[in-house]
Amino acid sequence: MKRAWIVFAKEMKDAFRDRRTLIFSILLPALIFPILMTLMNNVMSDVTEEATENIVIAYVGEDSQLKAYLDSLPNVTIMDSQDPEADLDGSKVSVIVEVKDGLDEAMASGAKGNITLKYDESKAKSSMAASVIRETINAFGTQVARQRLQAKGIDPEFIEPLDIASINVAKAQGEGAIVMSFLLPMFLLLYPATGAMATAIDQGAGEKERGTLEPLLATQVSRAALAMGKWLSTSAASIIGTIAFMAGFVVAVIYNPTMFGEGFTASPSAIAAITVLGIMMAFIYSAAMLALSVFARNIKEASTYLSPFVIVAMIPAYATMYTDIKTVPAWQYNVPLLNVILIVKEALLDTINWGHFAITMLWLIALTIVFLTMVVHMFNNESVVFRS
Amino acid sequence: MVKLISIGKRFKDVQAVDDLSFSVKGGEIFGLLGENGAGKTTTLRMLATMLKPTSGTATICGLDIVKQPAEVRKHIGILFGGEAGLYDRLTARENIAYFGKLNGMDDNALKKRIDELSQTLDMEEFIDRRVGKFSKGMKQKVTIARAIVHDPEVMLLDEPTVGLDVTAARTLQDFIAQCRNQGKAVIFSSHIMSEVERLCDRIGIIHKGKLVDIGTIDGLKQQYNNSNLEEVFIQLIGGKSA
Ligand SMILES: Nc1ncnc2c1ncn2[C@@H]1O[C@H](COP(=O)(O)OP(=O)(O)OP(=O)(O)O)[C@@H](O)[C@H]1O
Ligand SMILES: [Mg+2]
Repeated sequence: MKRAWIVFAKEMKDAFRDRRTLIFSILLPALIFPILMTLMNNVMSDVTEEATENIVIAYVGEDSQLKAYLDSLPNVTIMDSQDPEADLDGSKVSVIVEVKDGLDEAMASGAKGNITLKYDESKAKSSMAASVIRETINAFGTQVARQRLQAKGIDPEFIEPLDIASINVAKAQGEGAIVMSFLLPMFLLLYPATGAMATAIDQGAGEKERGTLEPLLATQVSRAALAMGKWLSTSAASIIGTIAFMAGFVVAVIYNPTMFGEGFTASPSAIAAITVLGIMMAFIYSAAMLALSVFARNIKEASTYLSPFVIVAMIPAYATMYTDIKTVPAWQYNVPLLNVILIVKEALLDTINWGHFAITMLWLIALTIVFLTMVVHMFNNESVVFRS
Repeated sequence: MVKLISIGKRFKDVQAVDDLSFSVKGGEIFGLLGENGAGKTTTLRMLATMLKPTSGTATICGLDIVKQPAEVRKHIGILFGGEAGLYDRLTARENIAYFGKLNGMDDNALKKRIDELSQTLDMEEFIDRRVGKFSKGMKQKVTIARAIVHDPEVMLLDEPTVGLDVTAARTLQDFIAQCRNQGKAVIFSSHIMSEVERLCDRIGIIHKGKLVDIGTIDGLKQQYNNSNLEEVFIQLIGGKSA
């Protein structure tokens, strides 16, 4: 096995000198989440802030108590507008409040007042402002209603016969756990695949394309040691890539803790189980990808074979998005990849069934061995080595 | 040192190599001549244990290439022409060392050997640079060094000078001659008659996978009564241009 180590050391050195691999499998994955979230966060909060913190409206109609009320609000500014419609179109105002004459009299006499809100649904700022203004005016209306009831000597409570209180009985985990139970399994299936890809292509088809495979096979390295060394270094690349992704994700979550809702925690045994599964995914993907890459004629063909991995990895993640982990039939734990997702979901609810975990591990290990055996066989098979 | 025993190779419907038998001693350079598709590469690949013969066998240093391929690999060095296969992101030294280590050499012996090779092949200037930007001649030197880093007794060379300029080709030819002086058995294939005439002790001419004739260059010239090796060759493979 000393020779497997020699192969491993060489492949790691080679991979770390490849700037392209480094950028695509470490730097980019690490940065993608922080960048994405910073962008999203900035854009979102900018829009929301502008739309609700400082609303510019146009008021059309004679002065009224409502106008005075709106004017008194700190986040609403009433603009003097000559042509309100044009100003709405030009985004100078977000909402036009149109009031029919005689509003104050109507309010005083117990009649209905007529108000029209004009806004532009196609503009996020305008539609957000409109809903704020609608609520504000409703609050004003409620105030008037209470005054009317009190004037007639009726307790305002009289027209609110029901008091509805809601209590959420979901486990303390909260909203964060729901989002995580979709995201984390997907990450676990996706990142080890993207992390392994470049290295797997380079170490299989790449050897053929460079013409290094034949001299390599003519040395005294055994096919098993060669396969082992290449598999371990591909796995290492996969694990490093996954860690990079996860690190980026964790950083993003730390800076925007509300991004996925609050209240997400995981027990040490759950974290351990998820970590072990992540490493197993790196192992199984590396073995499978290496097998396909060694079979491929050249780098281009290998890329074609390997790119579907990412899509295949996402299918079970999406398929189980709404799965209730407590009612999953036992056979599903015998479906590779699907069972990984199920265990992660169990782990996040802190209800890992270690029997399920063992079945899943057995499947992953068995398949990894099958793929590795295929790699060894292909190194021994002249029609694969000289496939053209 | 090398003995082919009725060796043959059939790819589906092509009999690429058909019943070849000859032997090559240590300290001898044996030239394999034949037109395109004659079966030279296939023969050398079988000797290198890269392809399994479909009939017959061969021995290298007394070891059977079919039954003991792993053992055979200890005794051979291969240099297959065309694209020089090297790892671009490794230095020349690292490329050579990788193959040395895979051939079981320890670090001390390896360092000594690489320094020695880089001196004989005149590579000291670029031995610690990455091979990615090397010229063809520089790469060829690295491939030679890699092929013999473990000091094999048998060298298998398939059109090793193809695509090299005159000086690079000459370096390689000098190196092949040096291998003979060290007592190695060298089998190499070539299309270049002048190179064959300069280097080879004996030649074998193969045509459509079969050995047509074998002997020393002078012997063959005398036998066919022609002082031009190229014409002897064309006569033997039944060409019309003779
Ligand atoms: N892997 C293979 N699969 C099928 N047929 C092959 C394979 N390799 C070689 N052949 C066939 O075997 C025959 C001999 O090929 P080989 O490469 O040994 O010839 P060669 O003497 O080296 O020719 P050249 O001078 O062109 O290099 C050819 O007909 C070739 O098409
Ligand atoms: Mg050839």
